[in-house]
Amino acid sequence: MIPVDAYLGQVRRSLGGMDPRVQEDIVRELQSHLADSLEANGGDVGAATQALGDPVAVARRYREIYGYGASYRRLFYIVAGVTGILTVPVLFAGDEAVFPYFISAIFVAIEFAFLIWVSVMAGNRAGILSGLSGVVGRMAGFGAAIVANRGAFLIAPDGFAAFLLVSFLFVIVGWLPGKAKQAWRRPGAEL
Amino acid sequence: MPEISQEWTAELKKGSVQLCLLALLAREQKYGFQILKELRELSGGFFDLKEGTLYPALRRLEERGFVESHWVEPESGVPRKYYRITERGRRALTEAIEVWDRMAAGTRRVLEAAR
Repeated sequence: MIPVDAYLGQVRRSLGGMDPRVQEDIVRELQSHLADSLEANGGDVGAATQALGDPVAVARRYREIYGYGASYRRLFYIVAGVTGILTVPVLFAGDEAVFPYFISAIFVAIEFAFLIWVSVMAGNRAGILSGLSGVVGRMAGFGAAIVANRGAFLIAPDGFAAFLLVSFLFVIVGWLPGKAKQAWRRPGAEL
Repeated sequence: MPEISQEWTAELKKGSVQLCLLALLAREQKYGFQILKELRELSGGFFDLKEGTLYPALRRLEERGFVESHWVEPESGVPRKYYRITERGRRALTEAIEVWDRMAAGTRRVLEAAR
């Protein structure tokens, strides 16, 4: 048997990352429900919490509606943008390339993995915006390389095409997994 | 062992629960536990919703603009969140009832032919 406070604590923890006001409202409503439920069943805490269901599953249903809060989404965009800068394979310090291809490729893989996670966990809209933020980071990194190496030959036409393709893929990878999840896990027909 | 699958019954319930929630809120505002109880009683136990699914269902209706909610803090007792139907929700309910009636009448005619 889980005491009411412990049950609500588990729900609250599982709602982590959502808008704090929404979290508070959800927990308060469940608390109110449990009070009514206890009054109706003669104070059987086990039966009341069991009837509500697994706290993690309950929180997951709310997450599907509200996703992550604005501050977390902003954090996702910043992480994607900064990682985007690190995916540029043309950063130089003098004559030395400080970001050879294989290191930037690692960051490209990290960016893809991160964008998939954001898209699945926070929804395809947050995924697209994170992907765009990654593209902006890449452009900024590339722009900084051009400014720092005026007159130098930084990238071949093929390389530039690959650069644009990877940038475009950031947006697609940010969009597609979330969209697919939405399609597979769509709740039953809604009014 | 029944021939029909539990999934079929579950889909029927899932497809009609939002209509029932709006219908329950058509006359007066209600709070979650009250809705749950009335839904169970009026449906003769057919809609025995898992309690943890009711509130997300209500919030989905709220996100669609079909219901709105507010807290009522009594001088003594438990504060409760009340849901009430909006004008948009009322229009959706009217449309959904029309569809439901047509479906029920159509199905009934087909079933009567099989008897």
